[in-house]
Amino acid sequence: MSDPPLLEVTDLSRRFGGLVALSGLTFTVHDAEVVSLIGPNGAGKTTAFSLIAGFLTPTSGRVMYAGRDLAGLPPHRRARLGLVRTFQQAAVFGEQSALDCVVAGTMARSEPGLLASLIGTARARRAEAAHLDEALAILQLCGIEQRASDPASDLPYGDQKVLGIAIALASRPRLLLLDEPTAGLNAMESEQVSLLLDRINEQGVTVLVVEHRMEVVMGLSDRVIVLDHGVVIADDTPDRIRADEAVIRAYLGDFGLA
Amino acid sequence: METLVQQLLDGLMIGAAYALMAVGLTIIFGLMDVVNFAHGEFYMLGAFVVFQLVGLQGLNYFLAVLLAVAAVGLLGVIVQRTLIRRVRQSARLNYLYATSIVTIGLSIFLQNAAQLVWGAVPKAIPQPFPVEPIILGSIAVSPVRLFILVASMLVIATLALWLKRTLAGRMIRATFQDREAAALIGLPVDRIDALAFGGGTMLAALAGVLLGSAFQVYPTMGGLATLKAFTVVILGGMGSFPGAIAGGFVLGVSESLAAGYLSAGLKDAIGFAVVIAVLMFRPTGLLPAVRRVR
Amino acid sequence: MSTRRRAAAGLAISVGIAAGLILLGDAYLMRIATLGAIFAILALGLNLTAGHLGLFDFGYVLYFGIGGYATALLTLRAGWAWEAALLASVVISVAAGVVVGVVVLRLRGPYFVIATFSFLTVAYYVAINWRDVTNGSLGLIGLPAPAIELPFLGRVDGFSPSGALAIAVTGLLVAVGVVWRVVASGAGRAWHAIRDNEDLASSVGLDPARYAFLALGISAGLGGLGGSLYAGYVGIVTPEIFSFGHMVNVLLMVVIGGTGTFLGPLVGAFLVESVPELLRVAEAFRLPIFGIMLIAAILFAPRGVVSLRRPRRTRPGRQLGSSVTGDPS
Ligand SMILES: Nc1ncnc2c1ncn2[C@@H]1O[C@H](COP(=O)(O)OP(=O)(O)OP(=O)(O)O)[C@@H](O)[C@H]1O
Ligand SMILES: [Mg+2]
Repeated sequence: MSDPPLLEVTDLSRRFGGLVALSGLTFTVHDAEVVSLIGPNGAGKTTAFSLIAGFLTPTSGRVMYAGRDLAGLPPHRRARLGLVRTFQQAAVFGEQSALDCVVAGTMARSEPGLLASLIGTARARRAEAAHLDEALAILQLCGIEQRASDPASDLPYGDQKVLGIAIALASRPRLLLLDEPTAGLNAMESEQVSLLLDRINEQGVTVLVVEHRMEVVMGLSDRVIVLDHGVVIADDTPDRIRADEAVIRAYLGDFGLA
Repeated sequence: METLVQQLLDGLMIGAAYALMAVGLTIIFGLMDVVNFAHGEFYMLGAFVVFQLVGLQGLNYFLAVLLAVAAVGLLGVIVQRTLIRRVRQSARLNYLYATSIVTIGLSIFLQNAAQLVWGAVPKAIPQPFPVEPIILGSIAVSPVRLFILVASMLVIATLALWLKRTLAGRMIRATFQDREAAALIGLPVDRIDALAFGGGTMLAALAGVLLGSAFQVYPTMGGLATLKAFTVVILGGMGSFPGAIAGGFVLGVSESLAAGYLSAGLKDAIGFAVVIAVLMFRPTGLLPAVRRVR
Repeated sequence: MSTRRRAAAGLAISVGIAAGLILLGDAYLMRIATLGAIFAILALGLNLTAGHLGLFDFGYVLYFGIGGYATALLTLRAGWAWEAALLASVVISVAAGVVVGVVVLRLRGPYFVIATFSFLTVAYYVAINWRDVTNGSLGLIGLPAPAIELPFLGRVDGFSPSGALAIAVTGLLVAVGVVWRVVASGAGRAWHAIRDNEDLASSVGLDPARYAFLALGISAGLGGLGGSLYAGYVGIVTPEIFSFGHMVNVLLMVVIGGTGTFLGPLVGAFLVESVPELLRVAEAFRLPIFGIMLIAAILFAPRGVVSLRRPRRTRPGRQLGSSVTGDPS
């Protein structure tokens, strides 16, 4: 891989009071890759996502994305650059319909701008219609289009998690950070999410995913990064990770899959 | 020089009562995240109950103070049990919005109810303290103000000790630091809420009695008191006890100095000017709370 | 019902009531309706922040007072015509909203509540104490009555009860139009998204601060419009215009009508202004009853009267995309 990485995380650390949640995290993600970030509970995976997406400020270290240093950039600015994260707990827009939730995801890149939208120009109305169509298409891609008019908060947990991915997709990410997309889902649902991630990646979206299910990780990833106690202990292809003695003993064992 | 010392002393005495009120507000806010808009009305009620008992029923002043504080505290517990708890248990309500509206409704109700019962004309609480000031060199100290200072400091010190030493106090402090963790280890957070809300209103009532004894008692006195309590709490860093105490003294002294050196009319404005400045330049307050922020 | 239909219904109801009262010619009822229309503007404005964005501005009537004082000062001291003063008052209120926003929008939740409330009270004491400008507690007296040209009605003079009502309703129509436009636009969608989940909204690129400024600015402008109309109608501006009683009044309208709904504030304003009058509740009992109503409304009908007739759950088979704003009414 000779081209510069899309995401370059260097020596990223974060403390909460006396607790070191993440220490010296260093890794890269290249365009069009699917990379998994795994590690036991409390290893600092969510913290890493929050730091990369700008929801937390690092104690030290640097996040480079598409050739620029993201220091000080708030989350919404990073999202507009195409760096979008999802949340470990299902996150939706309350009682808004599933479709409205996804439309909300498209709003930030609204073409005609705020003023035109306020005045309600013909162009703004066309853009609105286009957003609606696009949102519906995204719901179809995610396989929850039959839920379009249901209040999001009333959806089953699994559908809410998928809706979270749909909302993220609506903002047209270039790099998508997915925090445990299959947590709390049954086997069939997680199989479907795993297929969805494949499709998303085929459309050219780079994916960095935190995942506990090894079958999902191994089937999906080009590369696996293993985190423990805030430190990277392995970064390699799924096959090599599978064979890595230390990782197996320390971690894969935890998942009962080694 | 003497006037300066005099004003500092006056400010400290008033500030002690502000601190009392602000500590009460801090307990309620820090523990339950309730912005208690009715805090000043509990303060007003404390003063009126003492006026009723001493001025109209002829009871002993100190006994009346104890009764009034207990009665208002009980009212606080009832408010928590019937209103605040209901809001917390309802998933459909926005907690901050609903609790604010409930306490606003309560404050309007109590203020106007007091006006219907006692009338709008300011009253004076008859009190056992001599009117002649105690003269120390060139400094004059009015006995009632001295009583305010001593009583406030005693109550605050007792409270601090109680929070540190007793089981209930430690449970309150644990809940104060991290409510979810406290609930997780099985602390009865709901009963702790009742205790805290009752205790917070008792402190407000006591502050009302003390300042009501030095000044006058009238139904709308709570509005300004609520605001001053908010001021002190912002000043001290919301949710911080040492901050509330320090903030009370800072406000009392700066008001006293402003009244002495600027104009009496500006006295009430000075606190708010300070608040806006603090909000702009140091939103965490002078002594920020050590609490887990989410 | 779509937002557009709801807005149209709101407009039709307001105009219908006003026309009916004018035809009836009852000056007392027209007075109630005039105040109702003016406070409905405020209820709409408060609902923008509290209902649509979830930012609880408990000092909202600050802008009502600023609009009132601006109009009084411009007409009495600077000799401006009322229309010009009204426009300037709205602009000044928006500017005040932005300035206040710089301080308060950095604060969250309860801190925001306390800060906005503090600003209102600061304004009250400034109005009392800055005698050179505000004439202290006595206030500014003798504002000229407003007069405007209206389509169909010709020149309308605020001295007559029917003229005052027509002017207030015109102001309300403008306010309903503005609120309908913004709520139905992308901004409305963004507000609802930020209200329902701020982290999620910023994760897809929505800037919470920018939309909060927008909401605060528009709601401040509506507050200023209401204040200016109020000052012109009653002819006097005193520090009481910043009183918390007005805040309670407006808050009650929003809560009773239904926070975050489109028609709620209008319905709430109508109920809060008219019912106590029609029941002839004595002035002394008014506020204590308002206090109890505020508590009862939030506990027993938190979504307000406009939602009472409908179960909370959305019916199956609801038409796709019918909920353009996603609001619950
Ligand atoms: N806001 C916070 N304040 C204090 N400590 C925190 C905070 N967020 C996370 N932590 C702590 O930091 C450590 C890492 O947490 P993090 O959520 O990043 O782990 P994780 O790898 O995502 O775990 P999981 O698999 O359970 O999601 C944990 O010990 C956690 O308790
Ligand atoms: Mg996690």
